[in-house]
Amino acid sequence: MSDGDPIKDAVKQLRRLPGIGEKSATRLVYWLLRAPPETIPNISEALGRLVTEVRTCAVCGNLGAVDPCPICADPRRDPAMICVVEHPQDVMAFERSNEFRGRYHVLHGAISPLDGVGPGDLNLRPLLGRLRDGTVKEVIVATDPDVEGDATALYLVRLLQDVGITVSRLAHGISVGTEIEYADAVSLGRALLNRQRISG
Amino acid sequence: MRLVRLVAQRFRNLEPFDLATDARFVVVHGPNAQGKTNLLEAVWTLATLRPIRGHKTRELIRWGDDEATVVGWVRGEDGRSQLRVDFGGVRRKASLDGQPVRDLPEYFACIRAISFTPSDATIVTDAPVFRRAWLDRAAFTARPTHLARVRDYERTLAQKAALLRDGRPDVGVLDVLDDQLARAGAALVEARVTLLRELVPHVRTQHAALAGGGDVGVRYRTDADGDDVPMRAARLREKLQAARVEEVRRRRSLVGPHGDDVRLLLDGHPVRQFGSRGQVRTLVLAMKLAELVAARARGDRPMFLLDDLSSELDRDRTRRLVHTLGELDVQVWISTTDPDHLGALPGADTLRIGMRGGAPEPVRNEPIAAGPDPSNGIAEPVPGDRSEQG
Repeated sequence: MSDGDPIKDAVKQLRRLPGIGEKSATRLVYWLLRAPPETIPNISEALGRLVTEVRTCAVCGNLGAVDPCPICADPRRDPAMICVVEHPQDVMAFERSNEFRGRYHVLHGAISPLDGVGPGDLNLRPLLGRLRDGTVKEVIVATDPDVEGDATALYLVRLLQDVGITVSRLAHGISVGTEIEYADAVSLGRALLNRQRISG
Repeated sequence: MRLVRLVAQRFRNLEPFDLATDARFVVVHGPNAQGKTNLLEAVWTLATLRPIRGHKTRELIRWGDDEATVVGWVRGEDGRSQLRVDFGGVRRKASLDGQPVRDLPEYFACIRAISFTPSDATIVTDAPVFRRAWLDRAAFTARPTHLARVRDYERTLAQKAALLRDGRPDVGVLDVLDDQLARAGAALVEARVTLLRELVPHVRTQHAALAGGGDVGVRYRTDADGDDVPMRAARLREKLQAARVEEVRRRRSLVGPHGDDVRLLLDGHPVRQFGSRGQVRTLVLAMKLAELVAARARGDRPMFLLDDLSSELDRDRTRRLVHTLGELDVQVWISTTDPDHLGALPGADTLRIGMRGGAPEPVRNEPIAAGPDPSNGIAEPVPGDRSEQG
């Protein structure tokens, strides 16, 4: 793994990060070498704690410092609603909105045969377990609006159709704050497709 | 829309150039192998963000360089836009009025082009994939959102192909992908058929005008027949269900619009098998002109690019074509070895560009309309100046 030169080694390790190429990695390494002396130990320590301290919530699959996670442990959260998302980052996004008072379930991916990901690779079995005792009345599928997210949502809908639970899909369309004039054509098309009747 | 100025650097074998092109007819002439096609390709590339079909992105960049740039100023119904595309290796970056493009349809709303090149004969003579590609390209030129439809379908198809390759696919996942394919496929076919219905009357008219006779028939053959999207989707679902065992056994997708074809007939006979070289060329040209006429009927004014015209049509047909194009009132780019072949062009609205050794030279032997300075009101971008990209 190490080829002796610490600078080259560091560049090689940083290049493994998504979106970081040879040039960026090199720039980061030289920046770190000139940064205040506590910078590198602080970063190493923070990264090290990711290994030793981050747990997967046994209930919802979210990542955090404790298991079960604070959301699953919070009695004020509505246990009748579960929002199913692809990634832990998606939970953070929903939480920022402050609109959802139910609980989450993190799949850690989406069905994508091209990437070798099938239903068995997703965090699905624990979800079925959570639905067994009748507490959960509605599952909101909030996978991404792409082919893989769609496939995952459809798969879930089929999986849950016999369980007797309401399954809904997140609406897709124009983002709030976007004037119609400036909405991109694909979003506008989707919004038209997912329009809601308001009378009649 | 009219391209009023064109700048390119490190593009193929072309010398860097900055041309004022505010004319209805832009005639690029010169002996063979001087770069005429490459100049037209620069226009095509700006309009489609792709090389001409069959070429590779890497080939757009001058030998020995890492990236190529094409910038164009377009005057359209909604005012002026500055379009720019940078190619580097397999990557490309488009910007509109100095901003990176996030929404491609927005870019393509500013510039559209229809082209006719010698290699387009393959649309008629070659495999169905060439006809589907023509139809999808035409649907895209008519409505840029068609791109999303094609991509959705292709991505789903790629997922299914990956699943089938496995040999023992998860049946639940296959059900879901077939359902997605049926919906995406039905939408794709409906869009293709709708466009074809719009084009066919124009194909017949244009063909009659060019050939002076012969009855053209066009049939779209599909697995997804029906009168609307839900019917087509239902039909596709049925066929996918029926083909399931065979698809799994052969590990291949056998049903769907990726196998559709456009059958082209001349007096009832398939042109693909029985058409002469001349008949094929005339038909392809009629198909391209039909796109243009349909666009004009919608109120669009795409540019029309004709590559190597002298080798394609005899003098009479060429002159009739030029006359038709003049009446359609769009910007026409023509490359030819013999500009006299074209007949009379509106002198005041024609720009002649001589190509020699990859260097375009505007020829000012005829009065050229004194238009406003194309750079008016637009910041001067210098290709190679990367500052605007942040």
